[in-house]
Amino acid sequence: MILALILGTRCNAACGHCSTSCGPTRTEVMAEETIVRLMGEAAAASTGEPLKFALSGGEPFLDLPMLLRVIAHGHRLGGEVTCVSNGYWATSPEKARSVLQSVKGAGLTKLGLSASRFHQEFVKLKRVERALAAGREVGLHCTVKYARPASDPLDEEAIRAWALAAGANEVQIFAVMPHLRAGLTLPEAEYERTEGIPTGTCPAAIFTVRENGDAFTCCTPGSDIPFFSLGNANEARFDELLDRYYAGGVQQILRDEGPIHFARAAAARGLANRLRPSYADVCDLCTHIANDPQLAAVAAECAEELETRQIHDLLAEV
Amino acid sequence: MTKAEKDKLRRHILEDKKFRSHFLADPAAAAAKIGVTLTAAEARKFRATRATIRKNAAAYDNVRQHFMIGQPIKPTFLPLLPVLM
Repeated sequence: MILALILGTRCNAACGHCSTSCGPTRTEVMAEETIVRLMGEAAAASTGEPLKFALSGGEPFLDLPMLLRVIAHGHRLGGEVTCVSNGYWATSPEKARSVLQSVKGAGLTKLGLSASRFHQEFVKLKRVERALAAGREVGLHCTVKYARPASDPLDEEAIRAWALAAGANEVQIFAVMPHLRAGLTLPEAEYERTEGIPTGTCPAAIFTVRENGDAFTCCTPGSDIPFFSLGNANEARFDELLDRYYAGGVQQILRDEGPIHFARAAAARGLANRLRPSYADVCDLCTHIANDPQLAAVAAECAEELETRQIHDLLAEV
Repeated sequence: MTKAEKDKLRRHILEDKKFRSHFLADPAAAAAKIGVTLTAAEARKFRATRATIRKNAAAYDNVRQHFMIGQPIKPTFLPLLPVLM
C-alpha cells in the first residue's frame, strides 16, 4: 500500500494553486510519534504487498532533522520512501548536494520537485535546477511536478525539455484544478479541459493522512472533504480506516466504474445540468461531483446503496 | 442467527450509517453491540467476503499505482448526452 503523509502545513511559499492553503503563517504539524505509529501500522497491514511512504506538506524540508528520521524509519520498515519539496533549500550547488546526500543516505528513493508558475513567485527556478543537477550527481531519482494553467508560457513539450535537460528523471504535468488557496479564483479559461465526460476508473487511490490525523481516499486537490473521508487516524483504529479505504462504497464504485457512475446517477435524478460540459480528467470529474452538495448527495446515496446491498446479499446467504 | 436477529441487523444497517461502517469492519463486534451473536461460521463468511473485496482493491491499487500514480491521465471523453441518457 501507499501511505501518503501530509507532515505539516508550514511552507516557505504560499502558492495560489495550493488547495490546502499551506504557507509561512501556518504552524500545524503531525507529531513525530504519530508519523512513526502510522508508518508501523501501514507496514504491518502490507503483508506481501509493495509498501511506499509518500511524504509531503507543506514543505517537509523545513524540518530536515525530523524528515531524515522519518525517512530512515520508513526505510527500516522496508518501504520505498518518496518526498515532495519545492527545492527552496538549493541555495548553492554545494548546499543542494549536501541536502540530497543526507536524504538519500537516510533512505529516500525518489524526490518530487514542484515547479510551476505558482511556485516561481516564491522559489526561483534556478533553485529547482540546482536541486535537479544535485540529484543527478548523487544518484537520486528526481521527478518534476508541474501544475500548468492554460496561460502558462511553457507548453507541455517545453516543460518536459527544460526539466529533462536540468537533470530530471521524470516529468509529471498536471492541469490546474479549480480547488485553489482559500479565497483565490482563476478565470475559467485557465483550466485546461476537454469537452465531454471522462471515462475510466480511479487512477490513483492513495491512503492519505493529513497533519491533524484526518484520513482520505486520495490526495488530489479538492479531496480533503467529508465525501472522501475515511475517519481520523488519531481516533479510529487503523484497520477500520483501511477497511473503508479498500471497501467503502464510494471507494468500490471509484475503483470498479469510476466517477462516471455518479454522473449517470445524477443525470437519472435530473441533475445533469450541475455537471460541467468539460473536464480535465477523471480526477477533475470526481472532485467536482464530491464538492457539489447536490451531486455529492447523489454519489453518497449510490455508495450507501452498494454497501447495503452487499450486506443484504450476505445476510441472505448465511 | 435467527430470522428475527437478521431483521434486527438489517434494520440497523439501513438506519444507522455508523453501525453499517462498524459492521463492515468488524461484523461480530458490531452485531454483539446490538445483542446479535454471529456463529463462528457466519462471522467467517462475513470476514471472508470483506477480505476478498479488500484483496481485489489492493491488487487494483498496486497495478494502477505502479503505472499511473501522479501521472496525468488522458482519459477517453464521451459526449455528455449519450453518456448520461
